[in-house]
Amino acid sequence: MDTLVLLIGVISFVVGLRVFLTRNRVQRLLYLCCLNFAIAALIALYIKSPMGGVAAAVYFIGSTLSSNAIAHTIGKVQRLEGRG
Amino acid sequence: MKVEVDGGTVEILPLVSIFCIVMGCIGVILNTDYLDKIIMLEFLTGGLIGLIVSFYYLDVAILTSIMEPVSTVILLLGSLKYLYLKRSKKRYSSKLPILVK
Amino acid sequence: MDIVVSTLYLGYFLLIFGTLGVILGPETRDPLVRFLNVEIPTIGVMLIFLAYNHTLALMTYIAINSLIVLVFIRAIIRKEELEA
Repeated sequence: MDTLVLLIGVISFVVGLRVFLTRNRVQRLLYLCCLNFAIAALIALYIKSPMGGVAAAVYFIGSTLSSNAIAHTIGKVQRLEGRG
Repeated sequence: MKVEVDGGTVEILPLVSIFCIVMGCIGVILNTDYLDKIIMLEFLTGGLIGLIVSFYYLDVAILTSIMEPVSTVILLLGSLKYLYLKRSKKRYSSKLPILVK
Repeated sequence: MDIVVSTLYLGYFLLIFGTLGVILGPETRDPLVRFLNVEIPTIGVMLIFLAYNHTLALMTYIAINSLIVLVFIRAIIRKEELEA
């Protein structure tokens, strides 16, 4: 249990640094999605009750929806800049 | 669940959340493109939700998780429309410079 | 360090640094950039509410914040349409 949480924490730190340092926008969105998954896993492992699972599921659904909206907008902006 | 840092015990989730908040704060201010700023704002809000959960306020965390994609979708639609409007205004003024004066 | 004291000082840091970023950040002639910088002192106020255990105030502030985004975005787009 302890090593699992520690491993997810180390992955989260590395991915957070790469979100901050990467210059490419699409790659930054990919690392952000991975960071959201890691935070949802940490929430589900931190709370010792079934309500924590509900909170982690709601956060997972919300962050996935938001990342999909950002990806769709990135595609639309790239098409607009390529055309004009 | 707990890590020994010289004397006291620190959990992982508040540590990751505080790291996300500090990095997101610096990133939102220093980036100048709209989509980069919105991505960094998402990063910052993930840290905020993690910090709320580590205080055991689960109802506030669920409310924040529901309300945050609504705000992000409104910001994205607004920024897309603003970008399109600015681009069409620039093209119009470059094509017909007499009408703008 | 305790998590409550740490959250309180982090909220103060976000409030001061975000206000400085709104006033003299890079490219704040654009109103949308300035509005996206305004989101940072908002999150600082949320962290200060969280550190003082004001749960109802925090919940109301989060719910109203996503409505005020709609009003401000609408106002910025309408201003840009009228200037064109």
